[in-house]
Amino acid sequence: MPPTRERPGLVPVLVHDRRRWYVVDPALTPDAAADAVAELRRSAAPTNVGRARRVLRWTPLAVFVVTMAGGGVAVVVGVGALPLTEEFGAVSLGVAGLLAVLVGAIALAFSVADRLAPDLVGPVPSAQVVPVPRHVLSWLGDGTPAEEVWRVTAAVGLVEELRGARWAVADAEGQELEDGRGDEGPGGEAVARRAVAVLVAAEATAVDELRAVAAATGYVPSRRHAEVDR
Amino acid sequence: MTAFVSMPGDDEESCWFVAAPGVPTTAVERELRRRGWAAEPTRWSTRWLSAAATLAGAVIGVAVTREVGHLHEWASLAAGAVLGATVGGGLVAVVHDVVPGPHGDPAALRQTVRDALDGDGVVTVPVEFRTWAEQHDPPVPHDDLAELARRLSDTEDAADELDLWRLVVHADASPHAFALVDPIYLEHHARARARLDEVADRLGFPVPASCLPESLR
Repeated sequence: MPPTRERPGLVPVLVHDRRRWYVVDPALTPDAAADAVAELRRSAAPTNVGRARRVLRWTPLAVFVVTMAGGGVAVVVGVGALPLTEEFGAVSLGVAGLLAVLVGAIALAFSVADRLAPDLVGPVPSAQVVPVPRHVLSWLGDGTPAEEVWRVTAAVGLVEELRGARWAVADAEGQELEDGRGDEGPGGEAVARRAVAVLVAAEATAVDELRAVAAATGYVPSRRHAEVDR
Repeated sequence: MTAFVSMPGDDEESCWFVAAPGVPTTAVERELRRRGWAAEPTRWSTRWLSAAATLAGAVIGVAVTREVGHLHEWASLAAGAVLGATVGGGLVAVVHDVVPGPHGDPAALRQTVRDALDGDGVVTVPVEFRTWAEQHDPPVPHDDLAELARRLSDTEDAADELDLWRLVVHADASPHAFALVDPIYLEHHARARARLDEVADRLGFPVPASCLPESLR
């Protein structure tokens, strides 16, 4: 059950026009905590653009569909209006015209997208104010101490971080093997394997830690975080 | 005589040192080209042939449309010409790719070259290495060159590994993972670099900057 009201240590922040819950490091003094939250809100502000801009983001697709439809009709009508009686020539002309319209519509949509809808970058990640994972959010209530939420969030975050790093390493190494650049002797692969082994061991420790935190706080870890993912 | 293969690239020249004995550099160069390191230069005869085939295809296309299809409107003739030209030009391209050129190597030599390339018989080296080796007086013994080339290549690989790791995992987004793994890559590079410096100092080779990871430069 997500929290229903803001309290010291557990605050809602509007990001991408949605309310997200953040937990504040309990080691911070109240003043420092308020500053950190204000800083996060400031850096999240540009992502809240309102409904009009969200609708505007669909413009490139609309431009593409309109151009395709309009151009397609124009080509079909235009070829039909030409004084042609042989089907082979008329159909070839129509196909060539439709291809030209398709290419033009794609180019137009991309140029509109570049101008109209720049990507919105999320808030600058902060070490002191971190988003509460969805699964943790469904566990905590208005009575859960903010410090317990912080401990659980940190433990879950550590598991996630180590797992993400391991996947990133394995992914980069896999790409290298596919590129045919992996045949550079045992050096490169060995160091990546060592890195993955270290990350797996750290993840096992982090999972144990999460289990201990969960036992102390009454949180039940999600299946994804209950054991090392292999 | 030193054994180097160089190929101009988009931004910088690529260079290989042939360490394995008895492998001709010309065969290595052909195999590297075959693997796509550089395209076979297009000869003028090929270009003329393509142009002629495209033109002939267009003419034949028009003729077939008129005489066989009994179509006479401009749109049909244009479509026939385009189809014919595509077939003609495409045929030349396919034949050019499929039929081997006059420089086909014997199968045994090709296999030797492939083994050398896949093992460490052919080593990717920085261009500075070639310049240094060719200007050195008296010439450096082949075995020393081979050892230096392999250690250079190992160091560059370790530098690339470190750069790749730092590219995929950022210190500010994943501080714990970074603190755990970054020292492994740093140490891997430092070890390769120490092994390189040992040989480079003995031979008096100035180690180029490309052996340092970009994130440390």
